[in-house]
Amino acid sequence: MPISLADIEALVAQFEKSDWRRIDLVADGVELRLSKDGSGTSTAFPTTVAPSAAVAAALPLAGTPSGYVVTAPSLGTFYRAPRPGEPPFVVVGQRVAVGQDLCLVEVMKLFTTVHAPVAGVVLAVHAADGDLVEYSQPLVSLDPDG
Amino acid sequence: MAERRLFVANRGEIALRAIATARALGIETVVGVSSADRDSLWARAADRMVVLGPAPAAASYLDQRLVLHAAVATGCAAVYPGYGFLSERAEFAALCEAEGMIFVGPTSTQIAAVGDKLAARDLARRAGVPLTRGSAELADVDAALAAANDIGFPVLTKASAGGGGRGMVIAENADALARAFGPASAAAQAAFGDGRLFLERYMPRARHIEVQAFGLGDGRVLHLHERDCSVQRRYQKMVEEAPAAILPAEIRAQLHAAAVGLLGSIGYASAGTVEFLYDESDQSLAFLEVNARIQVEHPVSEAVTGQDLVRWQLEQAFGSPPTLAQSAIGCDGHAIEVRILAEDPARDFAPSPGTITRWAPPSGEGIRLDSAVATGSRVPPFYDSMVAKLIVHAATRDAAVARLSAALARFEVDGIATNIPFLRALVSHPDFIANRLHTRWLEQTLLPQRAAA
Repeated sequence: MPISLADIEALVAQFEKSDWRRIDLVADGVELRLSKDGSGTSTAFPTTVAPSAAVAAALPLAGTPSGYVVTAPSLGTFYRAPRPGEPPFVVVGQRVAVGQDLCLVEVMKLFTTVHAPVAGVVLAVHAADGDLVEYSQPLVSLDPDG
Repeated sequence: MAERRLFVANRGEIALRAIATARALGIETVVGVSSADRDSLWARAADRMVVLGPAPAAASYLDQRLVLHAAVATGCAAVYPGYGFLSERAEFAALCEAEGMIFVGPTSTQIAAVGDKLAARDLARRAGVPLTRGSAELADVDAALAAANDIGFPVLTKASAGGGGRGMVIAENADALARAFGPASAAAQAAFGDGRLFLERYMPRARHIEVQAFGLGDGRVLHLHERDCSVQRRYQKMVEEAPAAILPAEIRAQLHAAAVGLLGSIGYASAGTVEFLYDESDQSLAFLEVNARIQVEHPVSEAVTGQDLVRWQLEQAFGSPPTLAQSAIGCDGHAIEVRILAEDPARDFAPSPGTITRWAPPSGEGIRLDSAVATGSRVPPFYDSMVAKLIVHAATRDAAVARLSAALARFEVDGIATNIPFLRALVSHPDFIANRLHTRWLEQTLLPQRAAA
């Protein structure tokens, strides 16, 4: 059974409530490493879910447990706006709701919309319009609510 | 003139080989990898590496649009598919053609023409290539039973859509065929998304002999002599030799002509192999299939001919096809390749991924090693288990066997289980030394003897 974003979100929520210090999970193409003290997080950006999911997964940044980095679901061309000339989906400082559109990743004219996995404020947009982004490359950082 | 930049759409030794050959030709390389391979030797060897997707091949190496997008976006003029993965997907070649991307291999039409096994049999028949008795596509088990009565038992079920042993069941009689038909069709459906089957007369003690060919795309086809790949386990080759030492000269000439005629009839371009079964008892040849790609075992043909097939492929793709005449392609001495697999022969060849803590391959005169691992390499569990190919070349088959035996004796690998201990036993077996082999020898003779010992 594939691991869904909902599963990861549930796991993250459970982890935050628990008194566990660290979880390392490798299952079904997903590698998940959660830590409350920064130990064992030598990897800058953990790899996340399979690109078939239309929603990119987000994981706490090492050392900044409140920051979420949304990563590319696969290699592709990054777009900040729905169409050329239109305003970007989001700008730095903007508040976004869960599921709100953040950006597009295009693979041979097939566009995948990347959604916000959590509500919060956009801290940074890591790629420029038209950039080739690679799988698991950071796209947008969010400062989650709460 | 196309920009001289190549996208390598494969992994492991063939990716490293393509990168090295491209570099020698002054062609830049970009390699697309999965997240499991980002620290691999070939990822580091290429001029540029891009991560396509996560470890599972379906979301990385096998995703046609993703691979093509990566090739276009990195400014490559051509894609090198290697073997496996996208190498024989006609729709991928067509996708490349539609984008103006050079697919280093045959055209999409040629791949499709030989990819369907029944269509390939028709091509072979029209080109005058000898065939086993066989059936057309079978509607159901009753049609299969009727066809089997005409062909004569034993028969072999085969998937029309693909090879590799999937959908293949040997039936000795009508009851066995009736039982096998449904499961074989289901296996073909699962493997290829196409459950169509046909029957061929089964040749129980045949050799697997194949001709290495290279098409110039205009009807002219060169051959690089033949290989004997009769040592197989579950239809997977484990040892490959060039030439096929047991062939009489007139059969050898007939074999080469058949392969050249078949591929020439479709104006085949690039490297390709025509596979046959050969029955030593009556010296009969029977067409098996065409592999429209570079094959794993191509180095033995390179060893005896002194040619470089990957170089030919790349030069042709970038506009300079080989110009040498057939008469210039000789066959010197004897070469043998063994596939080094991360599989544990003591546990029925179970895959044994892990980290290689010591990698000490043999080297020396007449020894070639094609691999993409070193001490410290991780062998991920997601892909094919082959980690290296050991190729020896010597003046005669006897000398090559001796050289192989000595090379395997000093090949040391720690950290993962490999089939090296099994290969040592294999190459010192009297049947192997005497070249008394057939496609079922490993399973019917060697494995039972090893189990009893």
